[in-house]
Amino acid sequence: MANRTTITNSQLGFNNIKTSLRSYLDKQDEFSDYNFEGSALSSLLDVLSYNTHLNGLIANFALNETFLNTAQLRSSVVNIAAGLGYTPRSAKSAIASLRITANLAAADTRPEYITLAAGAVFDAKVGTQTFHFTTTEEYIAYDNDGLGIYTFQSDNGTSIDVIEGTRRTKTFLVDTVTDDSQIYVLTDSNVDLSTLKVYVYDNINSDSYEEYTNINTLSTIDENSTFYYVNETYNGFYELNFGVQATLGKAPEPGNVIRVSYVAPSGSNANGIRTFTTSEKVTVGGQGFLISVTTVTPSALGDEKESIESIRINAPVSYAAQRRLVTADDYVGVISNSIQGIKSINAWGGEDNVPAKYGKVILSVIFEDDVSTSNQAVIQQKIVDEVTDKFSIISIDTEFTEPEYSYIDINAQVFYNENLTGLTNKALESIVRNTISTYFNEQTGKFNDIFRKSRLISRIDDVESSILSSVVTANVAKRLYPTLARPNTVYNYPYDYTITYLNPIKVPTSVGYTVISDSFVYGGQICQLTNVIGSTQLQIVDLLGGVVVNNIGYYDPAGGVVYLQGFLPDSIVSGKGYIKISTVPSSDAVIKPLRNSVLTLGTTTVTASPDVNKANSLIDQASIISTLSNLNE
Amino acid sequence: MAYATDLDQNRRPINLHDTRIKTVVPEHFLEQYPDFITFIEKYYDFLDSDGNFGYDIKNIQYYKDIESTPRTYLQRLYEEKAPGLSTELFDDPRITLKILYTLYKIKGTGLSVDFFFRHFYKDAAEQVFPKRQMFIVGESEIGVESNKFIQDSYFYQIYSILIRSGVVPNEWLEIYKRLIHPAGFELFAEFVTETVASNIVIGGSGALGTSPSIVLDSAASTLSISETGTITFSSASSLTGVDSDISLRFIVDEPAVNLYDSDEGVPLSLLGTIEYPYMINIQNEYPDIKSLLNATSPTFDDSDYIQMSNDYMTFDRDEFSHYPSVGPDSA
Repeated sequence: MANRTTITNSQLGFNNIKTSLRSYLDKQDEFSDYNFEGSALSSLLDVLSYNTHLNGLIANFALNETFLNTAQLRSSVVNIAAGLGYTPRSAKSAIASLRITANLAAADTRPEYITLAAGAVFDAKVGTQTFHFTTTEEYIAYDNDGLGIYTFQSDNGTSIDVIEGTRRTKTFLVDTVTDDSQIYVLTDSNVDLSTLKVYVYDNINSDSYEEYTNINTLSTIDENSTFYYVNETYNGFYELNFGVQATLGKAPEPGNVIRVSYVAPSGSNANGIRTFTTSEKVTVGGQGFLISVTTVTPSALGDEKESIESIRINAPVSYAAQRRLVTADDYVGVISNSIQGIKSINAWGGEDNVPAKYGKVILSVIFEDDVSTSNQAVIQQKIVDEVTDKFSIISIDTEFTEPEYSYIDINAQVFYNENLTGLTNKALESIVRNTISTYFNEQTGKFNDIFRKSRLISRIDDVESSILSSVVTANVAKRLYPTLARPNTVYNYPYDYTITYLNPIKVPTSVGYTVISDSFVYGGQICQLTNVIGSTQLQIVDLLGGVVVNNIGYYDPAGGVVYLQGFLPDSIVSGKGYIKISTVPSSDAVIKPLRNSVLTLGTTTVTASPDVNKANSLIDQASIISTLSNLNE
Repeated sequence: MAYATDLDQNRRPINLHDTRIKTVVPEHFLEQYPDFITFIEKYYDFLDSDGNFGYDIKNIQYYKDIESTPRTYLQRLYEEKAPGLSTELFDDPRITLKILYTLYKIKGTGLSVDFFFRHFYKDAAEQVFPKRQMFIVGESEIGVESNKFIQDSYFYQIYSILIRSGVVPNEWLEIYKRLIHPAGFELFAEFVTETVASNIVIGGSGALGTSPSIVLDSAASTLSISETGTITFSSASSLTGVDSDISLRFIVDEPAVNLYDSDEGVPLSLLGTIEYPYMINIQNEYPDIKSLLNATSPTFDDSDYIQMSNDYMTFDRDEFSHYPSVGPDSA
């Protein structure tokens, strides 16, 4: 992760500047005998310091806006990214798949087929807000079953994609071109660039036009190529650029009319919609027939314009990828820039997979919260169709695997000075618990997010001024979804399980368990899984510690793996379908996820206690001072 | 603060900033208020002094220039154009950043491997495709002589690459995988070492120190200095030979070359003598070290050592005996 701190090239505080300036002038021979505290000189120093302060601020702003990682303005970030060949993602329309039919059973004569024009509107209401979804192309329906029910067809069968947003059109008249570079600004910051259509008409009255396409879709360019390229302007609008006449691409000529059409979407607000209505009709023999609609896939993939933070991450990676997928990092960069609906993605070569899968690149995706399961499959297919199949090395396939969560159980002991707070133990514990939760919300939950205990401790120590110190231990837990014994069944076969942890597990000691599970029912008794004290052998014990099964497997401390052999519980006490198996890591200082592992917060236990270290108490400090004073006398 | 770049820019300064207090204040100020003029000039000097922004303001146009930007800001450029890399990783981070784009364009190719090692490690690495040694039914000849191997889904397979270089894999692997390695291909590394064939200086202030250890080649029973190699003995120097089989250590001393057990501190036996002078061509004088030894003398085996071996050294890990998968996880 790049360093996000801003550049500070000089002291910016007014007082600091004035002190420095006075000190500097003091050292000059010409002013060595001047009294800078005198009112006139002091006033002069004030004025100059203020001037310095302002200029210093401007200098810092300018420096910070120079670099991608320190720039604060979107325009700066976008421009630097443009220098890296990166176009930030525009806003994106939500897409829904609908099944659209028309019942013409009552028609006097049934046509062979009917059409649904591009731009047919389907409405969806969420609360008080209405979203408009439209078709993007013309569809045809046939009366396949002979009953008069016409179902519109697409390449995907009977699923018709509709996109959310309002289609807008802008018209530009090409005036006298004074130079080779023609720029036309769409005064709209809310544009789904994937829906952009550019037509150039001969003149204002002409019906004949040429369509210009995005430069990224071209395979060759010559003087007759009709392309445009689009980029974000300093104020968030988009500007269209055309080729350079007679050399690189065709440019509209004076008198031509440029009509630009695009969809202005509502972004992620239009995601997750399941109910659509329409007043569209099909006219047959002068008679209008309402069409009906059912939802195949709820709306998804609507998104806002790419954020500054996202650009900071994706632009360098995209630059390194050069629009090709070779290294594992290339997959992450290109897919992140191309596909909506992804919160986090990780990629690794099949050679690094366990087990190895040569000739494959494995992807694991955490989707945005509002992406349904069916849309997740759609997104995965889009990744393959639109990115990996197009830009990866030939013969390298793409495979997906689910994210695997590791739960970090935190036990925090906090010691505080009672004299510095009016908070009760419980109140302090609650604050610390919230701090831990905030830390995990901010620092984990995505691929490659690392847990660093020292950072967590720093936050806990800083959250309340009365906290003097804290001790934090972190255990790593995984969830096992075991096959349960079927009641009243003769043939119940136990299963073996291998549970891999991220870090090595602590070697067994004579004190305390290093592996322990929550409760489940085994052989009719409520039990837990633990290691044998001082051993890596695993056993099942009842709540009183009595051994139910002496050897149910073992764990490999160095490899961080728990092996269960012949495990068949009756049921799980929590009723959640999984058994949590916690381990004490050999070191909990840093827990780093690999591949499809993702860290998240498990349980949190916080204990706040008044600090009993007398050296820290005010009374004892006073007593020490008194003692020292006596000694000096 | 004042920054210094690594390089002489050798360009005409773009910046023509200058404080011209005397030309902008009213003329009579020069006579009536000279201290004020000095005061203001000193103020501008202060702005350009260490810790102030004057320097940055005047040089801001250089800061996106890879060649001219201070090291502080070079790292910022790395964050933009070399994600995951740092200026500290390279001897010449400026040139590296300049050519990185070229490397990005050719990543995954044989050329990129050559480019990578030559530029970053000054080494001529070789990229080997084990699939070319795979036995192909109907095409490859049967028998050991054909030097073809059955596909093992590990080393001998389509998706494997062997990098043979003179740089220890731990040094290059992480950067290699991040920059150019095609994901999906198993990566193997061979660390190639070669005998130093040039003259060896023993003792004195030479780089090899006063008592370098040299291991004798048991296979040929010769001291494996190249044919033209010479050993220069300076005063108070010694050459140590190690017999790995019986863990005895021998010292080849000057002016007479005596081989004796250094652990015991006394000559094991007088094994041979090389006449003074200091310049001696061992290979020419004693092509067979056995001639220096008694019949009962131990033989020399350097198989566990790399210093004098012309062989490739492989890293033996995991389940595959010779060509283990190496390197950090790309995930």
